Amino acid sequence: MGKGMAVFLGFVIPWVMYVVVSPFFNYFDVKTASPLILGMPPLMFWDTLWIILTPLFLLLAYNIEKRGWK
Amino acid sequence: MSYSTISLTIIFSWIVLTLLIGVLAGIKKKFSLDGYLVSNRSMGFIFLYVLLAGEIYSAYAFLGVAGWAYSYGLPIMYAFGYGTLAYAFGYFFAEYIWRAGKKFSFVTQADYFRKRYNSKGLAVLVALIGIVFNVPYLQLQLQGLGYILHATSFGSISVNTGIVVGMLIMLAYVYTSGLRGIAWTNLMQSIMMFVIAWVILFSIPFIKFGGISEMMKHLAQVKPHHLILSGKMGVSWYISTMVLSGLGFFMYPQMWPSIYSSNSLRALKKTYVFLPLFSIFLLPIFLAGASVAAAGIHLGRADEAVLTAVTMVYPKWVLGIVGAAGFAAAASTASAIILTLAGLLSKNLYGMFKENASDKELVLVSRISVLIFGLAAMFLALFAGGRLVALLLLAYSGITQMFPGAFMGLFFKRFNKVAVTSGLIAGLITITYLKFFGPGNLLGIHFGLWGLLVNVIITFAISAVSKEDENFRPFKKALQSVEV
Repeated sequence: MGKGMAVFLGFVIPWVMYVVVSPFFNYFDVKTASPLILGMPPLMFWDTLWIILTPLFLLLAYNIEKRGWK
Repeated sequence: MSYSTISLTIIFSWIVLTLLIGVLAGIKKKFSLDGYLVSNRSMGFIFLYVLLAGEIYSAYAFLGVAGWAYSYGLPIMYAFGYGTLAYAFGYFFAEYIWRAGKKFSFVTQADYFRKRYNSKGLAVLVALIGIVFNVPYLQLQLQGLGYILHATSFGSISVNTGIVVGMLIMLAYVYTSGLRGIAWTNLMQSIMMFVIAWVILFSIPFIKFGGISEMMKHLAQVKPHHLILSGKMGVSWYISTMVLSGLGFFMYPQMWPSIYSSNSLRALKKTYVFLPLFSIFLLPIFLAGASVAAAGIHLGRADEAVLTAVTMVYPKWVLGIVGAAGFAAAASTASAIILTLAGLLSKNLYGMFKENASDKELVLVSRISVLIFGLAAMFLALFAGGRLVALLLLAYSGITQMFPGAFMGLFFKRFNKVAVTSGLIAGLITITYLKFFGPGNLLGIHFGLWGLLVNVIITFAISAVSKEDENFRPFKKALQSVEV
């Protein structure tokens, strides 16, 4: 595992989750006001979730990278 | 004591505290240019984190995010996304900036362009772009600051007085203490912003509606389109704005001195690992703005949303605390911009035309430049409110045009000064045309991204018919030789 894996975890995954995946969460039935996940429409939930998950993936990238630092 | 006196006392105390901490941080120090602009590259994780967090989230994190949540709803999710995307990108990109800064003693963004492309002309162009697009942004911060102080003091402080007081306080500590003063004040400013958002704003939908779900159900009845991306702010707009903003984020010149100031690669990387967690404070701000819309309240201007949300559920004096947080947000951003612009003017414009200028002379010119930019922004804010709005509309898209030269030039050996300068100019022409003479967001895609596309095509086309740039390999080799 090297720089490539760090880039995949810390960069590719967050970018894919927002740019590619998040638009699929853009659905909401205004008549029934659903679905709400933790009170949020799906897109909002997804975008908020990845604010929390991205640091975890960046931390994995950091741990991989720091092995190569002197 | 009346609510307005309490409110004013809170705001005034906070402003005085900011002034004291900012000035004391550097009043007894004699600064070199490195010390003044990048704090001698001595910032550890904590100071770097709060320096960046305070710098990034401005008065418009409060006014703008809540205002958008109130006016449009979900489209502001692009701001949730682009910050995180920018940090994920910055985690890797900032390493190159930091290495270059350490190796060549850079203090500005334009220094980097000058060395990589061995071009004074390109460095001057980059410095000018940074200045031209940032002055209106600075002015906007001041206007936001003036407005917040006016509203939260219940009119005791006029908007103009707020602008003048805010700027004089900032000038005092930026002039005296440089980046060190900004880092110390940002330590308290960023904590203030974060705590106020989570303690006061997050509770609003719970107190007013009984919970976030209940607030959203009200919102679905009152403003159904707020809960889904549609129309002009549909998915194409959302993605393209997020991508443009995510890529353009690090092209703002004020990001660079902060990166140079890190004392180690570890501190820098850790900062980017944890910065997304700071940005989650946008959630309570969104909820506050959405609560005003869900309550069916009609506002004269959307900027009022966050303050209206507070007065919906709290005693009026609480606005004083929010006013202090608003001052914190505006001052922490504006002070960093002033110092960055001063660095560009002194090192890259003055210093390039007077190459034998001593370090002491450059510090003095930087300090004078701090006063010039601070006062210029103050007078613009006082007397020319909307005059620079055209520049502001182009600002983010314009700054983003530096992306190929700054980032892609690290990987493409044929990228040279002619290719990068041509692409940059073509990008700027494209965005100006689309925004003011053409269709704006063509096919629903942000006009800035079209500019970047033209920019990249031109840069690659000219590079393709060029030889390898002779600066490429020495520059890359120098970056790799930096000890971390």
